[in-house]
Amino acid sequence: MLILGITSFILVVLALITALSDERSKIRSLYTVSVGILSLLLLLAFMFYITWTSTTIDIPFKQDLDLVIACDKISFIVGLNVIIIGIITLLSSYRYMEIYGERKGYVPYYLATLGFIYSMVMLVIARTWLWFLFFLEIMTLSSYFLIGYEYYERDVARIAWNYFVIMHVLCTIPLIISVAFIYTVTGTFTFGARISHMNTLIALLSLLGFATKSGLFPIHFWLPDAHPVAPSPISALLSGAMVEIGVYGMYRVVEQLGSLDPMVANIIIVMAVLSTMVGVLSYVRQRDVKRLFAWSTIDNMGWMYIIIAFTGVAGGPLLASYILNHGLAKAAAFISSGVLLYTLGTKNLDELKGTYRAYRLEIGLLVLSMFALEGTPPFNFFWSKFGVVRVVLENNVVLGIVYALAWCIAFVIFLYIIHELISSSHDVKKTISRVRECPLSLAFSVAILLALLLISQILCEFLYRVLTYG
Amino acid sequence: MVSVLWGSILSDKMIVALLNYSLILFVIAILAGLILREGKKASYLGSILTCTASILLLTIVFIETISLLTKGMIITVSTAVPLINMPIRIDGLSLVLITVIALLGLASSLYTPRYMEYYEKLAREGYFIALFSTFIASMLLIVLTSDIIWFIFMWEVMTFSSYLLIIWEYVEEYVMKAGWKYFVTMHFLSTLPLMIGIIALWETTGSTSMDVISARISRLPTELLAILYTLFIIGFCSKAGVVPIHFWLPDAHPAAPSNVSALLSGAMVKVAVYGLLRYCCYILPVNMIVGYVVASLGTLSLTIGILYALKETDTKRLLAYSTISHMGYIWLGLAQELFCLARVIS
Repeated sequence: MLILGITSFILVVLALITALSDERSKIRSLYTVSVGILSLLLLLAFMFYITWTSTTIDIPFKQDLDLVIACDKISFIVGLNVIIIGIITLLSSYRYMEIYGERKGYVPYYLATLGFIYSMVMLVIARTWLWFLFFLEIMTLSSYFLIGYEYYERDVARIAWNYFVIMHVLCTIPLIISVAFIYTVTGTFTFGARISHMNTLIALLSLLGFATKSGLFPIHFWLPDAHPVAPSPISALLSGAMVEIGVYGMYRVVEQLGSLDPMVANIIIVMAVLSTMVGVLSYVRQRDVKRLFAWSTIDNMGWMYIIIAFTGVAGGPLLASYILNHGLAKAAAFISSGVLLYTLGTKNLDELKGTYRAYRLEIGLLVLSMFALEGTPPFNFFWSKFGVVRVVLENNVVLGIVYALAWCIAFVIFLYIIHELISSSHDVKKTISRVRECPLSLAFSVAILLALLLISQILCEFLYRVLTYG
Repeated sequence: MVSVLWGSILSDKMIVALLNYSLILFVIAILAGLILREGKKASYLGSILTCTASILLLTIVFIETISLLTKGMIITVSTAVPLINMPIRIDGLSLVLITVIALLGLASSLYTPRYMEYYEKLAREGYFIALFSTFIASMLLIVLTSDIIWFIFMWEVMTFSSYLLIIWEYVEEYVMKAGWKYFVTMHFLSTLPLMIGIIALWETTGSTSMDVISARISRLPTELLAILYTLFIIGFCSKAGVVPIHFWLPDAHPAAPSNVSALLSGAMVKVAVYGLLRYCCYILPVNMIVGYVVASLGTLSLTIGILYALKETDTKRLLAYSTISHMGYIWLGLAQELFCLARVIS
């Protein structure tokens, strides 16, 4: 275990050092990508090992500031999601960054990306609130750099600025206050200490913080701006992994509180239902593929938070599998829209009408990811959505039917968009032309995600069975 | 010696082995189609695989028939699909459906390679074969499974793969419209009610196994049963294309390639009948009022279907209306079964 931990740590450091280099250089970025992927695989092995043996690692610092690392089944599945999407992001970035040619962001791209991925992995396995906040801040900072990567474009710098300010005011500050309260009540930063009073206040503050991070209604307004402006592999990471970290954090808070105050639970339910409704209603007027998927994230956040509201800690397995399935589907969707940007230079649905005949591979990948995202079997996202409908129906019949209907309506809207892409009544050649050939690594990235979606639920259940004995 | 041989053939182990082999062949056909992608080779290879799988399924039917003739009863098999642990049971009802699916699968597989030359300009024969065998395999697993959650999952796989097959000739505008009509109708009037009904069954009885649910069903209040009957009748009625939810069928069935139309009209709508029988007659207790409802829907369907067919001149649309009409006959027959059972029980 020690060897595994040290090796992955060395590789992480090595990857971060190589990532300092210029992303415009082909050979250097290839090197960074391969070291990065290797380090993520080692981290996965490390995580599996500490989950399997239920090890708790305590890296001593000054009193109360120890970095405690442990991993349970929920953490492992959420971490698996982060690592899979991280690997796919690195893999697809290698060719995708050609879009930017000689232009450069204001930080090295791979440094920010790797920092983003590693901080999320650490967030998932950290077991003290102080370090949780520390990694959360690294995550926010690196995601800010990546959202503002095209700072020279109009609006991008402003959107990144908005994102950073909103995150600090509505996410970091409430969370710091909430963690301070937890510390005053329990006298320790570690997870799992019993909170005897101020439960409602802590729950409300954490809810504000994590809901902002996840883009839950009514604090969702930054998300449809921020997610699409980042480079597409980063959008996959933002929508497929980062917002889920918010849900995961909320789950940990609920776990520590033991149970949710009914008032807080009701607030979450209202926010979640409104998120889903706002998401579904906004699909209709989206003409930008990436904005469409960003709204779909808001929709899905409503599905995830309602699990927490209705089942509390007991809903962990369902929540974890929802996170994995949604993460994979959303990453596939964003990377396939990245394929469109790379090969056709557009992400506008009006221009893409009827292009399926001319660009079968590119549009085909997009269409398949859309089906996966809407939970169409055989893609395993179906199981998670089905599970949520079941949980909601069990607790409130009306809301259950609302959720089932929302699923169907969202599906029909996506189907309509798919029909626009395939339908033949538009003249293709006039509107767009191919800019570049589709590289194998990009198509392969989407294909891996779609293939994983065919077995993800089975994988989750398998992990749950296997890790029980750990 | 001979009796030992017979014993080993007429055993559930033999049937399980045959079933597993045919499922493996379907999976190989899907993979081969996805890997080869295009060309006649993919078409021929896939058809050979699905043909063989169908023949293996017919062998199961043959063994069961011999067992029925010699021992006076069929062999009931309970097993699980390896890897995914999907519980499976073969009884008399599913055997009938296996026969239909296997025969039609065999016939349309034989028909496929040469017929697909008609769609040569669309290429992608490999993908067609992959979808085609997914479609057959999903129908097969629907009638085999004894778990309601797997039932709805496979039901959705069947809807999705049949949708993709219907829009195979996507360059034609009318095909896309028919596909749209089909999928939207299915989602709102078949998947949604079935999903809510199945979740309600799961919640109230606490089990997903059909046998356990039917044993525990008597605990449920009558109002809930009424809602469940309604949901299941709507769900299966729309899939079967029975009046009043028949409007998608005359568009969707002719829009598909003919070999798919055969499966759609010949097998898929019968799978819906299977579902109705399984849910309203086996899982839920038989009920006189349900019988009346099914009978009136059937009568309506057989009348309206045949009246529409009178004015049709397009062969495939004519056959589609004939499907609607015949679904009416089947539902009427089913209703009579429901009456008899309800009478016997009361």
